[in-house]
Amino acid sequence: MFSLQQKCVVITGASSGIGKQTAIICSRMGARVALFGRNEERLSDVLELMEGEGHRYFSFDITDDNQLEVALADVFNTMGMVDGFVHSAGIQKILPFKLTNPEIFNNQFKVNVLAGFESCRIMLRKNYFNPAGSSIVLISSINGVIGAAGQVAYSTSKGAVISGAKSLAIELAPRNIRVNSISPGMVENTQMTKGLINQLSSEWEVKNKAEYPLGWVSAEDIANSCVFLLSRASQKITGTNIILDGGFSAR
Amino acid sequence: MKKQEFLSILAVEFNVSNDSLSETSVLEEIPGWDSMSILVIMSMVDERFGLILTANDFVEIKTIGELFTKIGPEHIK
Repeated sequence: MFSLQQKCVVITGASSGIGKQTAIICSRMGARVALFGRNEERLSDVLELMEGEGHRYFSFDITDDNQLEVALADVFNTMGMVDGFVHSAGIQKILPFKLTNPEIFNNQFKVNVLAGFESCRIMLRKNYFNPAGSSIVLISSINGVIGAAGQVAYSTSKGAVISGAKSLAIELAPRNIRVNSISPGMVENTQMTKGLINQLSSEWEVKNKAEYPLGWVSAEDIANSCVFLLSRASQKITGTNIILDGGFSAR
Repeated sequence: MKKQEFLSILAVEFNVSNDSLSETSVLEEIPGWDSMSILVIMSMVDERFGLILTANDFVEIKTIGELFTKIGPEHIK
């Protein structure tokens, strides 16, 4: 039920953090995985950590629609129908609101929101999704649900992912494509988290961790939820947002 | 960049008069200073000099003069 055997899964942001861990765990669950990311060296390192065969990586800039289209066509031609798509690529810029100009919004929207939805749109138009049933998982953030100072643009983009996923879920249900999002809280040891600690201080880290009843989450925790949403075990779940935050927002 | 130029930019960001800031000004005493202000300075320094400062750097940087030292004479004089 939870297996991804025979499935082909495309993952953006696969060279590090959540995307990387999702790729590894999807491979353990039997999927063939297409890794999208910018850094070829890191992508090939991830490939080394994966189990099974038939995986491929594609290094390019996912905010470039033409390259995205070429890569997705390549996936379809060489790996077959797409059963799952995970949009894990994301960037975060912490900035006081008064410095958050439209360019700051645009840059984060391009990666966090548009690259994900454009990937879905291309795969729909070209009929790359497996008509037997497919699953789209968009990685949002706890900040798409809860506010944080300095994160107006980032949280706006992550909120857009959650609401966009809901509308897309309704629209694609007749085609047997499920669409869900995941909102992780702070994730241990990712580049994004390290960047945040650098900017906000180690004191902030200690204080923030104390607000997580189960502690900060791991990339593996999120990858496991991705596998669930990609698998048949979640076949009636669509249009939902899984909050995966160690209880942070339960208070 | 000249120190005076940087002080002027800082004055605009913090909405204070130009002559109210000097090298001896303590950052935390700039009117309107709040928890976001360090991020304003980090962003300014990154944007103008391509230099990434961390929160831990600001444990030692208390005054604008100390900020100049951290940024370095090759960037600001």
